[in-house]
Amino acid sequence: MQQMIWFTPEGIEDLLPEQAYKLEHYRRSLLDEFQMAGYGIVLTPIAEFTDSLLTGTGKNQATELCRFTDQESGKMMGVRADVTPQVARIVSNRLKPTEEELPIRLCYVEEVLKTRNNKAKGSRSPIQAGVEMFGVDDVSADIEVIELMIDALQNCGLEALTISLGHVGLVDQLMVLAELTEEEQKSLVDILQRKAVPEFLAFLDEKQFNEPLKTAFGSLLGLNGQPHQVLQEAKGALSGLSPAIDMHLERLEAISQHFAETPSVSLFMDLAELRGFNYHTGVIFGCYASSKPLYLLAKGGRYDGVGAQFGQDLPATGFSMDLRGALDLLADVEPEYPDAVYAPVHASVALKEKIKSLKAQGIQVIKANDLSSLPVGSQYLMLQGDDWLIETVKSGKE
Amino acid sequence: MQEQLTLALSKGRIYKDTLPLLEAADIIPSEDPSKSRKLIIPTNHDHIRLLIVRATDAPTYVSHGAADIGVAGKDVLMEAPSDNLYELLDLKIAQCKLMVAGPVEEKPHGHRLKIATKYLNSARAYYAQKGEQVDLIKLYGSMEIAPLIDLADRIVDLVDTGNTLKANGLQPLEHIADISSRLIVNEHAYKTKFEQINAIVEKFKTAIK
Repeated sequence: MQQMIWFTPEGIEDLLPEQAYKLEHYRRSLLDEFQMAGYGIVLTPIAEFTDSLLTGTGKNQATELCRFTDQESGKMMGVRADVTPQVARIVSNRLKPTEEELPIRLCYVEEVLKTRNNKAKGSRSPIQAGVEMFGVDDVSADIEVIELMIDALQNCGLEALTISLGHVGLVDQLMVLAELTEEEQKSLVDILQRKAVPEFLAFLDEKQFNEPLKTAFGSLLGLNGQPHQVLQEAKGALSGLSPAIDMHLERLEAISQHFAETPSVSLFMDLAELRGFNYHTGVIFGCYASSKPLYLLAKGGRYDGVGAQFGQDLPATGFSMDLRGALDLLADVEPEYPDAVYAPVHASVALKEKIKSLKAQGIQVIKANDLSSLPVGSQYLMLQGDDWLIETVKSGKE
Repeated sequence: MQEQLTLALSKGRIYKDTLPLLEAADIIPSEDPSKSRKLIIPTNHDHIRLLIVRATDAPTYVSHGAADIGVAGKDVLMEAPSDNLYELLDLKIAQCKLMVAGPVEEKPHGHRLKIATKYLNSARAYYAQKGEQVDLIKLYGSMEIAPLIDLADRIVDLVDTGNTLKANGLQPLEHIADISSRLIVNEHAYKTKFEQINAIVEKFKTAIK
């Protein structure tokens, strides 16, 4: 008979004790950081109706969702592919905050699952750690979330970071001003996301915009680099076109000024960056570690109004990262336990007390009935008189 | 600070046509890949190296960040769109057309056209947009034989001079897309090594014919 071979699906993996310990260490470190900043932890369901998973920030995840039929309701269910739509649902549908209860700050660390394995984009089963903040539409929320991302990553030992900043509202406004049809918008967004300069130039040629718009669109793909320089050029090419554009530029300026002096953080600005264009509504950002510059470590941005579909329209922003994907970038951690002590299986109350007190001191106590099999140098508990004392296994027969 | 930069190129025509562009950016390979078996080729700069890869693999190297910059045909990019890629320049090299071709004297065919091609996705998208349902047959090369021996009714392939078609009794029928090589850049490299990459892109720009 052929032997069954047990292997896991593409992109699905186990974490063995050393790696699992490491992941848990950083998971706690992140959650501590989030909670110390006032973010309350939520646990979202592993699966729910696809209606809500595919709403708002999830509206483009149709092909990423593993789905099945709910035998109870006959409706379609899906395994979460992203935690953000779930948190948005919780806020708008469960918490229903009043004006006074805002802002709402929530955080999470949960495993998600995607239908396909796309190694270039990241894991198929990321362990998503993130925060979401609801109810503040001014720049303070953007800054708070980016700052928390920086603090959390630096706390994990990733000191030198590059933050890339963008704002999807700029291109959105330009497309509105240019009265592009939905079809044209779609193809332009695709072109800009690929920075396909040849196709972009062909698009501009074909559209024959009037003068201010022509300059504005023409400048788009050049608006990247040092924030100071980019904003200066952007003001020349874009400001005055609409009040919204001026506001967007002001907001980006406020953010880049805020972080200009942050130690070990360098800033990059790309005004044609359109990651998540169909659900982001404002400032977007990404974060790279300089130890691995080609890996997008964490990302986030605004998704105002997403809650409207769930019943409450709130400004929102947040960031998330894949802890599983980042694991190899993080320094290894040694378990903090000093040498373990072995203890026999014994009904003695005194032994139980002794074990309890050792554990309280942070000493690992491992059950071992056959003390004679312990390696030389191991410590074990032995009854001497009325007391359980720590002895060391000596070499040779005595 | 000069960070390590890796460029992925394929041997042959693309390499030959990219050399003048590299030169314009003051990047001089220290060996000729057509004479060397080395796949990683150093340059006159310590921090810049070239990878010699298969043409269809260039986007994969760049998309995964194994290379920062690459040169890839638009045919490859259309056939297998990759994530994390910017297509910054049309290098105007290795120019040709993706076309439908068929026998000069077409035989009657069934209610579904049979199309032999290496470019399954591009052919599928083309016929879907035309509203035609066709059967696609994947071949890796010598497509021109397929209509001659009734494996397929037509082919979708790159056409340069058209001589191969002619020699096999085929003719170009429909134009799908203009193809040329693109300068591709890893999205994350573009953001984290912007000054260096942008300098190369700008110099390439001035040298494109």
